Amino acid sequence: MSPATKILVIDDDPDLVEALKIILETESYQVVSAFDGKEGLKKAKEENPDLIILDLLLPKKDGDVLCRELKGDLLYADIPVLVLTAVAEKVDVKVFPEHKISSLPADDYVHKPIQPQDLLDRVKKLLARSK
Amino acid sequence: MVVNQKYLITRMFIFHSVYSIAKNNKRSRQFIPTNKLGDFLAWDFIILKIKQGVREMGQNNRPVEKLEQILGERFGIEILNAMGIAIVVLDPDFNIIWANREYRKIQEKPEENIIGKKCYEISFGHNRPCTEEACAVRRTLRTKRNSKGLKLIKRRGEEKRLDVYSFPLPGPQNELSYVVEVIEDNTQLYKLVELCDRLTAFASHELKTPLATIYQLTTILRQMDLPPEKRKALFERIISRSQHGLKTVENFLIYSKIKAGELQIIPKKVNFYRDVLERVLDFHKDYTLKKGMRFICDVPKDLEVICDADYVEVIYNNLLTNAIKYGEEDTEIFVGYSDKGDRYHYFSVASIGEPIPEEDREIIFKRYVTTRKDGSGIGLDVARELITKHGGKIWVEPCYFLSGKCLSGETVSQEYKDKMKEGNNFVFTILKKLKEIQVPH
Repeated sequence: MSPATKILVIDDDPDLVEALKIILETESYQVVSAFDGKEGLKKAKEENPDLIILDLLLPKKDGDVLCRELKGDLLYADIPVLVLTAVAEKVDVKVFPEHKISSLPADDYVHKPIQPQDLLDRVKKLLARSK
Repeated sequence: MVVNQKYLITRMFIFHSVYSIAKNNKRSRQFIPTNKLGDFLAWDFIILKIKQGVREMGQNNRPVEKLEQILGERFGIEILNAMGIAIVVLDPDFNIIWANREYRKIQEKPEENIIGKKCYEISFGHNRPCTEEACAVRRTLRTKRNSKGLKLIKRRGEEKRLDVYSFPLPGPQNELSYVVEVIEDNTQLYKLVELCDRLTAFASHELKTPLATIYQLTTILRQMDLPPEKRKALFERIISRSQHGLKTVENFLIYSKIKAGELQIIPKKVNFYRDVLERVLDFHKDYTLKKGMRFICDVPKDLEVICDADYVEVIYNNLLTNAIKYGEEDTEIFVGYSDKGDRYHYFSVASIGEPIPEEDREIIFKRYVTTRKDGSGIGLDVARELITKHGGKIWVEPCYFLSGKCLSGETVSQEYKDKMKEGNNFVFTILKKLKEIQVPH
């Protein structure tokens, strides 16, 4: 684990971003954040993070679109993307049907509410795989 | 085919009589379809009785004579006309033989423009029958059985949703002579069902969001050994989210009170800034900061107003929630006041954002209306009702922003409008001389 490991958290709920930040900082990850899809894409390109934690329902640009855009760009396709999914996405089939979530080019998924240790384990695995 | 209208109407009268008997008989009430969810079996039951009546008439005319002796034929027609459901009798060629008043009301046409015309011509302006898939009458004609369907017609630009039940009406020799179409205009009911669905979805989402966050934050607090300052920060967020959840519930409770006609305000003289605005602005402060917004408040700190402070707070909560939600990031929200020397206090909440189109400026305050996909349509309705209770009115007007000032659209020339940021200014009034109500402690 390197203190310089940078994680970009993209979620429109500032409380959840704060929660993720607290969890990730216990392992000394550097956390940068974005609160909508457009800002998320911009920060992904500017900050060059080691990993992205991405919510699906985002203002301005949805998480699935952002995920596809990043994975379709050779410059950023290698950045591991950990997608956050919630019950709402499963229930609201109009927005995110399950087949749409499973067809995403994401590297892993974490269900909300996030269990801190589960999140840290998944982050660790993805970072190890990408090195 | 010779049309014996008198005969038909008499049968219709029996139809009605059975309906009335069933409706007034508690034991039979379960059979009566009072709305679109009504049991279709009820009509089977009624039509069975009609058929029995028709058979009896075929053999012996005495029951009809007896009824006519007691009530008179005209009375029967009047009852049919007074019914809140539309009834129309069609021959097998879709010609309208008879229609009651409710049918004419739904179609918005006088009797002389209906009788003898084709039903599809009257309902849709077509020159040929509808498809069997769309038309219950066509299905009844083919199958000689009851059928039901939903008919959508447009009148004065508004869509009407009509539940249609159609029944074969055999003649004396049991041949299919006519079809009775019973139509319920359930437009309002469908609207209410839609509203109910929308409110349920909205309330669930609005409550789920803070609850999910609270659950998430408490999970972290329980599972992680965090330093005191981080624990404190998480607790603060939990408190803030709980308060927002409570405000949402409060709005729904007020809404149900309004709808039940049980909402009463208790006006008292208050320091408006201290007892209303300070609280409400403080409550929304975090959310404005998150969007890079800030409040500019231009309300005199010594302003005294007779109002129900708790409910005026709800009005501001709804207006400010919208201003933050739909306002542009990194801009100001203007909270203003003016005294025009008349009977009212004028309060306003203005924000920079996509202007509400002129055609929507009135309807957004109407009941069950929302022009936004992510709104419940109750926020402004609740605000309007509470303002009406304070003897005032609410409206929205376009406004323009320049150097930290909000200007009314009327005061800015077109030349400057093009260079300024646009927005919406929600203005509401409160009667200055509201009667104070003293509540004993």
